[in-house]
Amino acid sequence: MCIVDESVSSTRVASFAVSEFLEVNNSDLILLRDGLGWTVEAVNGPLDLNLAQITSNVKNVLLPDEDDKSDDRSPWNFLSRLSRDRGIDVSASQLARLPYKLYFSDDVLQLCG
Amino acid sequence: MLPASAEAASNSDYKAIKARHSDQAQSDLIEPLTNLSKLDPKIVIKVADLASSGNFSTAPESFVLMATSGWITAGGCTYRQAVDNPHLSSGTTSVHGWWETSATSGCPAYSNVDTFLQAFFCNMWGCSYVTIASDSRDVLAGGGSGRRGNARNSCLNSSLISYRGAVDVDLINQNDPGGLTYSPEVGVNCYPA
Repeated sequence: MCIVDESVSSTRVASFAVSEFLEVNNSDLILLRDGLGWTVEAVNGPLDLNLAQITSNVKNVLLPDEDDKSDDRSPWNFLSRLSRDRGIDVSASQLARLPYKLYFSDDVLQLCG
Repeated sequence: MLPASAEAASNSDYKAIKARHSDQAQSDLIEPLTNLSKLDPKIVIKVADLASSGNFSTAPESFVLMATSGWITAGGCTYRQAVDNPHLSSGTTSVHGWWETSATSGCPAYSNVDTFLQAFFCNMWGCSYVTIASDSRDVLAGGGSGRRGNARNSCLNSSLISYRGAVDVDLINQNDPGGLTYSPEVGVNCYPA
């Protein structure tokens, strides 16, 4: 889920907060990660953001770092571990077969015009 | 200005610390009374040089004021500079910086991206963000793997510490602003090593 961080954003700067959930029983959302996000500043023009760029940045902040040397290099291993930490026993291969959806808040969609 | 009582305590503690370290060679150690807020954010302070003069900690909620760069034209290139929130990665706190443009012309292929990782640090003078890691590299626009800078610092333990990232993008062979764009502050379970 991607929302606009209103405490930071202005006409030149936009800050996005990204959280990652596991949906269980078709309705319950278990928070796996928050505190993720990014900030972008228009240096010499309008922000001029579009949803494709925002989507790309959401994926970039969610994916493990390219030089991550742990088992977490695989996002499914990482998410499986986070799920187990929260009492949900699900394997990386099971997670890989589930749909992965991005949700954007209304603020984000408005920012893209 | 510190309250009188705090200032008296600081001076007393400062003398004690100076006495403890009197046998150390003068080096780049950060003096306990250094006003951290006046340090250049583009200068990396080694964690080891900070260790004896204070502690990393979490920042109070009201502490952070976002600072942004000035509005200055940069030739024909319209661009944005971006930084992600510091986060845990393989036993380090990691932050990425990159640049974006919607322009089809006027921008160089590569820009130099300077990425900075700052941690919240307190000494007897007060508290401020200090830069503990940086990275500088030339990258294509867009962000993502291979198109971003990465500053990171190892964790000593999993204590919760406030961090923020900053980025400065320099268009290669073009004039551009030199200001930093900061991330919001975030808490990361990583005491800097």
